[in-house]
Amino acid sequence: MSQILHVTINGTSKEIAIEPDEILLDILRREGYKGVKRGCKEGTCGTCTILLNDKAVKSCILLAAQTENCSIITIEGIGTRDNPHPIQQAFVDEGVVQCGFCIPGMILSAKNLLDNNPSPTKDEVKMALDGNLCRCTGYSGQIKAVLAAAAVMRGEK
Amino acid sequence: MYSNEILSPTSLKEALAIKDQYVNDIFPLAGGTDVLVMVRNKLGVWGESPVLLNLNNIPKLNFILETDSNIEIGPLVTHTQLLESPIIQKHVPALIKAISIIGSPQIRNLGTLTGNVCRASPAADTLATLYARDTQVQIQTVNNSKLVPIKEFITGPGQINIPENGLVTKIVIPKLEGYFGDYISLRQRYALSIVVVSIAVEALLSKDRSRMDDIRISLGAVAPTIVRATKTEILLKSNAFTKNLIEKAEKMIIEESRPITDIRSNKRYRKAMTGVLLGRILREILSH
Repeated sequence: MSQILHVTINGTSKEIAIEPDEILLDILRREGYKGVKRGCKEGTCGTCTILLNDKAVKSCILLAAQTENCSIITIEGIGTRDNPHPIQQAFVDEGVVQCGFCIPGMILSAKNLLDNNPSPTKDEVKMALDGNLCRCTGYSGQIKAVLAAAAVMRGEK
Repeated sequence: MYSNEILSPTSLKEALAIKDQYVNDIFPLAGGTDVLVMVRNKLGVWGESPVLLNLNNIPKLNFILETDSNIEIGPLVTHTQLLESPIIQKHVPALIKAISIIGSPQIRNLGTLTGNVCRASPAADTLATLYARDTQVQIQTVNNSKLVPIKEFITGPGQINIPENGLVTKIVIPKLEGYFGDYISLRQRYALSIVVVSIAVEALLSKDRSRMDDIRISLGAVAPTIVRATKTEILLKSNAFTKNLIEKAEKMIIEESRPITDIRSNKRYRKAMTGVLLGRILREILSH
């Protein structure tokens, strides 16, 4: 029994036909938001992270039907190649991306932190990223990048 | 297949009517951070792709209220909302400590306190403090509403005592004026991990600080449910509060706890740690 889901994705209102058993991750990928990655699909790795009403959540443990009338932001909604978000730019500048699979989720977790806490400590950054697994890098670069992006977003650089 | 059907009522009355009609064939869904993992992995009753009762379209179930003697928390309140709530920060600081290390930020943004209670895990971070506070759970059916003490509501690992047509509609935490509250948990690491052993304490010192007028100690992950260390509580209440008494209490709580060995830790270590953690908290109180 399909139903119509009303959501705003990256600022655009959408009406999407969904089945009751579909998770948001699958809907977003079907709608073309391929920056939302499918990793563990059980709420651990964090690569499917999106912002739901401005809070970071894992879209693999969320039924699409739970998000009626919600605002969703994916990695596609926060910056472009020509006009990247300061966090994206900091990740490039610090050279912290290897395979890249974890990065969309990690950047959105970082955005969730910096939107609420413009001057986080290193420990606060670590805690904000602790739901995003990266198997290539060892995290130290990403933590540096988030701190650098925080300074840019505060207008200090 | 996650669900055959999902029903999304927009009022509590409607939700209770649906639960009354479907009884054991429908499962309430709030955050879903645990439910959807169990459905996906086909664990227990969740393997049958159950009909889900989505409560997220009932905004009235999302509240944190302060009354004269209690804090009342609605079933849709997420862990993040509790962390950010001045009411909880002021009145239940030990709960803030417990919630701040649940899962990951993304889990805390979706998962709810009521979900954590209804999941009834002996290792749940929030439960130790809720037991120390003698928290009550409000259960509602179409024509009835009652408050049940949390230790009667949770009957075993994953087991709760609720009528087949009932929904949890409120968590009621009594205020404790003048108490010192603390929570410590040991885990294998501090991200995305589950408790190895945890302890929550709520203590009220006498005015001259020589005795404990009241103390509640609860332990997590050492029994099929959270348990209160009642013998140790009595020992601490019936003697002068000194370094010597703390040492006796450490020994007694080790005797009193009955943990098991499982994938996360072993019996001997868990037993020993109940003493260490209690000692840490009591020395902190003594030194203040």
